[in-house]
Amino acid sequence: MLDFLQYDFIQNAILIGIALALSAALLSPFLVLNQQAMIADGLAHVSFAGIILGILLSNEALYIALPFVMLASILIKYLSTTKTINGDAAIGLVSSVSFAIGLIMVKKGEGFSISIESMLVGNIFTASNSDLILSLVITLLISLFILFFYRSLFLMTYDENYAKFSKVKVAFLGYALAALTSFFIVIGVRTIGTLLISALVIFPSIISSQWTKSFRNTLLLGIGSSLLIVILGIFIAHPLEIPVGSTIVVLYAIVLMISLIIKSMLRR
Amino acid sequence: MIKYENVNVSYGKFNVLSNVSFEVRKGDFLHIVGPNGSGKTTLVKMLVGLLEPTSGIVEMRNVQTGYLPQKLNTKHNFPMTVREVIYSGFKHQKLKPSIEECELIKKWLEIMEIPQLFKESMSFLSGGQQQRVFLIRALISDPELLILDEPTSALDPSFREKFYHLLDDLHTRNKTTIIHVTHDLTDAVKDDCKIMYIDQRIKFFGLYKDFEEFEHRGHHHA
Repeated sequence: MLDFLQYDFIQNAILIGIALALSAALLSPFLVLNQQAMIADGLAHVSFAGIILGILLSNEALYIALPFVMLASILIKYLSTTKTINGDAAIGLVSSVSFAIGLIMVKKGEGFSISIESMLVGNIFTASNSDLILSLVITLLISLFILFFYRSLFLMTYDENYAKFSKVKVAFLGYALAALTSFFIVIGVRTIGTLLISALVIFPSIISSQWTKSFRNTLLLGIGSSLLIVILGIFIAHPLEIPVGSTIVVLYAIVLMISLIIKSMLRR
Repeated sequence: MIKYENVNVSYGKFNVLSNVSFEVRKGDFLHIVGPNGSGKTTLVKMLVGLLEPTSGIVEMRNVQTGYLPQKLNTKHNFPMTVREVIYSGFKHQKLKPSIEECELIKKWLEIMEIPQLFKESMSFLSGGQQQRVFLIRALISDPELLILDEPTSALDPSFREKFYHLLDDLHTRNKTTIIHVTHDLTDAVKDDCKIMYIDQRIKFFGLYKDFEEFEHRGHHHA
């Protein structure tokens, strides 16, 4: 039954899946519990334009897409710190404008041969070795960042004012978190897809916080459940020939629904 | 220890604080009173780095400081335990609290009469219990300077009295400098305390016994 594991592309997909699940689950509580869940969704839209621009201008789309999305993340962060625009409105503004520019470039760009659908839903089985290496690099960067700044990030997430009082470098860490999120999104969009990558960031802490009392356990349970769901998604999607990203998102939704039902039953 | 010199704070055309100058010395116990919107919280926000004065100078010696904000953060459904909140009050934080640090947290929970809450989730606590937890966070690092912005607003009267005894004890035994913003002076004040009555400007700054005279002349705090 597990014969398909011998194929390189499957092994590649599983390793990338593990790396992305780990990265997303590590980022998850610091974004979702800080009312920034939609930043991942916004940046995914931005990276759509970034990758198209990259394909049109360079042999390696990432060289363009990565700085493009990082700049957008800094712009979103900056706009949301100005008192005239709310954080969610800033995300909506930057992401919709980028997505619109991306679609115009697809229509007018010469020599653009990649299907839009493949960009929207991604394909982890066609991922290259460089995708694998980049996934491992971003996982390492995010892991080190969270490990090193865990206390400061926790403080920032639950009470930004108290974090400032405690001399946490709130602005620096906020920008660093946004930059790492954009790096993760650009890598993830190619394999999981523009429309689905944000689910990897949003679901883990929503699911785990149903079961945990502490922030630390929310992070740890989020990592555990994500790894399980992403690997299970790859195993289910391949034989059924359905998109991996969609399978993973549906699995997340099922687990969340079951969690909510059990919780409401326990409360009675 | 703290010096304000001609400090002004305004939001647009609205002046919150005008020409505020005063000093706090090491070992002072200062109660700041005044009506709603008089600038009390604005005054302490500058001390804890949350606000810059529009003009003027705020100087403060770099000492270990404990702070209880007026608005307590109690995000709905935020997963965090009492232990995690209190641990964030320690100056040097590692990934996990040490055994000694956990023991200290437990000791403080007993002083605050909530020993059973060590591993409890913050969102299950009542307002008064949450306030006690945030008070422990302010006190746990054994601060030289303690800044409390309406620390007893959610506490019941009997515990409030105990809390003020605790503050007196810290003040007399440890020589902790305390700045206490309050609406309710009556149960807090000893004769050697200083009082500041503020309403955009400092209307009174001095010892409590002189403040009583100032009040009798027709000024009433809120």
